[in-house]
Amino acid sequence: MIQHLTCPKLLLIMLLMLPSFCFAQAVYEGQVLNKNTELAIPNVNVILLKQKKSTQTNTQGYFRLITETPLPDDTLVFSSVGYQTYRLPVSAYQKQIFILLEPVNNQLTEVNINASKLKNLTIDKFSYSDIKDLRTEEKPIYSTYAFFTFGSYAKLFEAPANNVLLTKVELGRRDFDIPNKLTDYPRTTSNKFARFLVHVMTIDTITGKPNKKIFTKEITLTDNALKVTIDLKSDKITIPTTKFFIVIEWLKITINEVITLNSVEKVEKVRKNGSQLLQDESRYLIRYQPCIVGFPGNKPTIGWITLDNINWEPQTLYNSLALSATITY
Amino acid sequence: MIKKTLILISCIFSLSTQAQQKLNTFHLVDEETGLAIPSVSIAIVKARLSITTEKDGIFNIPGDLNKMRDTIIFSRQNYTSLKMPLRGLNGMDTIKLRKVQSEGKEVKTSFKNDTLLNNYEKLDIGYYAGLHTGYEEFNYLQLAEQFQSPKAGAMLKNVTINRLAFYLNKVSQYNYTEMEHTKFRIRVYDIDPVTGGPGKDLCNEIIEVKSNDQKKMNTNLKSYKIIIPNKTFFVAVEWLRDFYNLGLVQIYSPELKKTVNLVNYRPAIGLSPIKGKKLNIWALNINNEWKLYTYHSPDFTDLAIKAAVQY
Repeated sequence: MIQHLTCPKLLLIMLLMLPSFCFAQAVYEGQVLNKNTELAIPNVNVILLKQKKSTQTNTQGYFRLITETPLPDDTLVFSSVGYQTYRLPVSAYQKQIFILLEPVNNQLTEVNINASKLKNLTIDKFSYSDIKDLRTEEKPIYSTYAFFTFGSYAKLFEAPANNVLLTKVELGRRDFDIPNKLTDYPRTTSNKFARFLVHVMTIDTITGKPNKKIFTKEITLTDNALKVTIDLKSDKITIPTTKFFIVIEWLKITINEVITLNSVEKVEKVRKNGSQLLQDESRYLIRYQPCIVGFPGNKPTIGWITLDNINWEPQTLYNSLALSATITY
Repeated sequence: MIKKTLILISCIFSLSTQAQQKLNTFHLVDEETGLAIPSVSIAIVKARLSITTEKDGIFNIPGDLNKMRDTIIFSRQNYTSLKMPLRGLNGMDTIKLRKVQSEGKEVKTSFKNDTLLNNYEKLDIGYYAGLHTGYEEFNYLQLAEQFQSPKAGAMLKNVTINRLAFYLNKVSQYNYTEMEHTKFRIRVYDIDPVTGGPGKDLCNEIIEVKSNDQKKMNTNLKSYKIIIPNKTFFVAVEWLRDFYNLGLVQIYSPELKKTVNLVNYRPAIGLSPIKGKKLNIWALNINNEWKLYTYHSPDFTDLAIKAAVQY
């Protein structure tokens, strides 16, 4: 066929194909963290060098840049006062990337004058590397898996002392994406918002179940940041006992809706030899944000689950749930 | 035949539970010409059922019509809607609908300015309307976006609608994937001075669009010469509740304590990621009444429908 094409015809075909390359949008998004502490860095300038497009990271260190005309040799530049500038060729960009910025050596160390010698401790600390998507073409199976449900999940924490102050809760999110291979088409809608409740509950010393709510806060997430920090310093939450629960309550509300293709196979044709030709038929399933990551950790996650927020059932997860609590004591 | 039988399965289950049922067959025809009217929307109000007929205008209702205490509504663009008690169909086999006479008007075709209304970034669309959810069943016949043209007397040039679509695995001689297909109708309405919602049709011709392996469906409307008399106008998606658009949604039923499959019709329409000052989404319910669609309020105010006008 190609042999018969004359030069002008080939040129015409190439010209017709050109728009399909030109109009492919690209999205660059991710989170910028301090390399030493893994804390989010806000107000980092993110510049797409050749396109001259820029944005700044928000309080979660999250950035998102969309370009209508991506250039394959462009570079993303991350710069902030007090940190070494980082350059990332767009060819090395991975979906929802974590960028680690190194503090510059001459940065003044923050001085804390603290008369009472308070200690900070993060219980069940997890790293960005535990929650980032590790799938590659060669390794198609998830390295992490998603945890999601209706109702509430209560995760058990144990502090080293009574009357500790809860200052921060961190959680790891991920998409509800279903395919095991990177090459598969997405089977879920991408929805950045999530609204849920965080409760702190005491433990029933006899049954071990969650007992009384001592604190509740509604949290709304408005971006695709995977490592979410919930600052609770101003809420001054004192936990009376060493054992306590952090509870995530999923809200069955429209803003949390995620649509998943959960197709069913139907017989399209039966061959003469009796074998069947199967085809997927559209079937959707509605799920609710947030989707919290479970990752292969050192110990199982001990917790309780409820569908009606009254009756609690034990639910041990054999992976570690990316939910940490930072306390001061 | 298989298609019709499938469409009517829902009717059979909902209207009567008798094992042996009489099947009542009806033909929908034009009162003047006597010809079949294709794609008529039929709604049975209390049972909350609605289907769109196929090209032959034929539909079936199983059971004893005399025992049915419900109301049936026939509606179609360019025809006067007909509302009657279900038992009134007893003994009939033909239902005649009256065509609305359209007024021929001279249309101005030269305009100086172009503007795109309700623009948004398609990559930011993450939410969709038109699906049953665990929270509410979607039983609307149309969804409309309210627009504000910069000037009265403008012409509607183009409409872009972003829909929900996934790739499905198909098997023939080779394995391949295909984007979910759909077809629907675009309706353009003037403002109803009483309700503030959609009123008179601004286009007498039927605008039916079919998906072309794209989530973004762009329709050039220039040839229809649709003039918007007032500044406010509406662009609506009218679902064709037929076999071609048939799909399923899995819902957890708290009453049954299990997951059930409900019939759903494509397409689901995207919601604009840009939040406006007021709600601009209207829905036509099974009673043929336009109401503000508050399901996604207050987080979302507009549908992912763009309209280009010339004035």
